Amino acid sequence: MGTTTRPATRNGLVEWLWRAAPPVGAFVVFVALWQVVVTLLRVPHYLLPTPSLIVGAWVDRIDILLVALSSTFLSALCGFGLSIVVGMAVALVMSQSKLLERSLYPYAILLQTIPIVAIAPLIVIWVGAGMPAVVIIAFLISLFPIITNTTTGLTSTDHNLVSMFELYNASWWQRMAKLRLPFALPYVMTGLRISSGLAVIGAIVGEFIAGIGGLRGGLGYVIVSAANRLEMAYLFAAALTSSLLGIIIFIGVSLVSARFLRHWHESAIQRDM
Amino acid sequence: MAVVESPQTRTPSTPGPTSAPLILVDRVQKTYANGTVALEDLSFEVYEGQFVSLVGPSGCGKSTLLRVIAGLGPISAGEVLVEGLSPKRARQERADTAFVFQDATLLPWRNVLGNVDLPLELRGQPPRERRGAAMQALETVGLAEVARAYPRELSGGMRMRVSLARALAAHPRLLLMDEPFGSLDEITRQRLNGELLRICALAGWTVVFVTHNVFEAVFLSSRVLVMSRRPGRVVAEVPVELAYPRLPEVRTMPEYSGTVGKVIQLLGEA
Repeated sequence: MGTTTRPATRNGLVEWLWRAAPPVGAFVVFVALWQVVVTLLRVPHYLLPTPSLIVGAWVDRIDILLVALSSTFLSALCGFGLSIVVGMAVALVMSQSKLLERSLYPYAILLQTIPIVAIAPLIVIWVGAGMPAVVIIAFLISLFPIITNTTTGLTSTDHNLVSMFELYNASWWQRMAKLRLPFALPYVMTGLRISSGLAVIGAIVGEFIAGIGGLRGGLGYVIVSAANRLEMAYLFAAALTSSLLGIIIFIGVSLVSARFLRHWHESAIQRDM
Repeated sequence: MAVVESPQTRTPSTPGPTSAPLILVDRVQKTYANGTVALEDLSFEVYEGQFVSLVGPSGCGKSTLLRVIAGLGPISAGEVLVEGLSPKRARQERADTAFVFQDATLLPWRNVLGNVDLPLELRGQPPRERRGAAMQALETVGLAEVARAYPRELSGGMRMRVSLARALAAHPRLLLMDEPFGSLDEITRQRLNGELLRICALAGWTVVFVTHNVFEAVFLSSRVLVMSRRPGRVVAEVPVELAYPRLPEVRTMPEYSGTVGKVIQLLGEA
């Protein structure tokens, strides 16, 4: 009896801990190193604060940060929601004819390549500073991936499936609702994952430029004002809170994606091998 | 000699000169936009209840021909009549034709039951009626217990049987099959050949079956049509004189191998 057998299934929690251990371990090592190096080299706090200072600033101003977080979250969510609605509508139109696609695609690319920081001041002039401007900027930044991914998904339908629907005399609407849209779903989900992160970036960048003062300014405003006052620990704390926001939204979209695709798409299926 | 057919089972038969053909293909030509001639001067007839195979070298146009019969593509010259109508009209008005592709073409986001009742759903049948017909079809192919499973959980052979159940649920008169068992292993293929014949007898289908596997063609059909290479024409027809129902043992009979040999020879000359 030389070999031991592992149990076929592990307790779910134990397995999760096992998988989380390496990155968490790396993080702990990194933070410890940071603290030690900065302290030993006596780096000034306005150049690079230690993790302990950052945590201190975070705890001190937690109330402001949380309000700012919710403000940025709301702006990002609205921008994201708008880009879903508009993006999918545009993709639907573009997928109907090659001519339409070729006419509109260059403008979609234009949208992608114009640096938003360049046109953001223009938007502030048109709409005024404040949340509407931030939402519009977040919307513009996150629009393109939804258009491209959804269009690709709608035009990539397996031609055998299309033939099958034709054989059963399906109407345009039946084909769209029962074939093209479900088929495009994995592509749409990819677009959503990318756009959700961009919407957060867009909201923060928008707040840099257009955020109003005071508590309702959002994380972008907090970052800019902390930088102006050389409050580096506070700035780091705000920046980390921003990435926390990005992570939350990303996990949210991934959960939605897994829920919709779990029965059938390779990306959402867990295989034993 | 009168042939008595029982109402429950019908066996594929050879041509009855008194009845009008279910499918009439008359001097059909199909040329693509780039000038390639896929089919040329192609003619044959299929009568109700027959199981006809089309065999030919790769690229000879047999799949194209099947799609023309299904009303999926136009022809450049000649005439194709299905149930006396143009294929497209026959498909739209009679909806009597079912098509089985080499790929099972199941919708991966629907479970087996959802796939089988798709044709009925597209036709606008109410859910309760549809589910009943779909479950019945699944029982006929022996897959009733996987009704809630998703296609990705099934083997290739099972997916093809679901595809057959889908064809069955729509109660067609005519079944067009384009190398449906081509991607399966030999054992599964032979087993599904037997299944197909059993279901044909129950359902009374007329079948046009495209394949490049001569052994399969001879086992299944009452007539084997040999096509030339491109541009495709029917160059020969081989009647298969083996009685139905055909059991697996048929494959060991000398008449079987003789017919297979004849078809292979004709293919070589095509």
